[in-house]
Amino acid sequence: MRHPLLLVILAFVVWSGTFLLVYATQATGCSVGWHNDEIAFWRSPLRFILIVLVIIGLVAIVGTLAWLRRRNTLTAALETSTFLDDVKTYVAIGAIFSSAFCFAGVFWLTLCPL
Amino acid sequence: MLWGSFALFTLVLGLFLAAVLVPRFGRGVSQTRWIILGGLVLPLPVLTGLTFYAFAEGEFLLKGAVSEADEVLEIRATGRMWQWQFSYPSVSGSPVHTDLLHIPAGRTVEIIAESEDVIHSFWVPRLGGKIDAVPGHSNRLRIRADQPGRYGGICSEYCGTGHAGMQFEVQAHRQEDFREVVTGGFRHD
Repeated sequence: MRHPLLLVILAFVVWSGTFLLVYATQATGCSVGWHNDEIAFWRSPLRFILIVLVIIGLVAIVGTLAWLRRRNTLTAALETSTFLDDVKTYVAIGAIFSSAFCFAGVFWLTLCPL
Repeated sequence: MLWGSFALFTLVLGLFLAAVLVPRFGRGVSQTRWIILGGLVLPLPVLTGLTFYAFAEGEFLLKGAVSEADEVLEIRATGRMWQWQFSYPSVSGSPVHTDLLHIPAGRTVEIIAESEDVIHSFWVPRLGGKIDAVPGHSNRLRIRADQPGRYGGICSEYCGTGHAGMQFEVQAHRQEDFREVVTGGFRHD
């Protein structure tokens, strides 16, 4: 059985994985020079890769929220309290806003030292 | 920034003390509203403002502060247990300085952080961000002091028993004095 407290932090675990992936890719891309070329819309391959990773991460967190809500509905009748279900939902919504806020910089911030 | 943090601290502590000491203070506000106001409405604008201020400062140092690449002064910062050594590749005749970094005020400086042994981290809190000094790598960080003065620096990555004492000083000089100071031809206090 999945521990309810682990499910509370699940959305931010996905957020952490996205952060790690974006950070590692940015560092690697800068090191090997993926930021030097422009492939389309005056954007470099590195920026495109980071944008794709952020979108995948965002979709994964939204998917986590949808899965938690569906699970909450299925298990509601078996549980004595819905408090933790509410917390899971709010935490997942927080993770979605946090992702949009933290990772938006990949669209417009300078990616590497000049 | 200091006064802003002082105002926020006073506000939060004032509300806390009022809730504890003043009879029936805040009872008219529901628990949910307290959480939303104190946990979201108060910190979100502050954090958003600080974040975008940091973004703007970072972009300024990378792009806006210099019109041509050669206006950036490169300084090599090498960490070793437990001291920092600073060398100036573009200033001929300059010796290596230990635990003392000279920079020109009003000019963007690019620190090339390296390490001879373990991972260190170069950090001058008042001049901007920090960067890890990793053995085998050269990481770059731009800093800028608008005014001449002294600024404290420290290693911010635990690197052994001498980590806490691995401090250095940054001295920002007037641009006309900088070269003489670095080459040792200018005596300063």
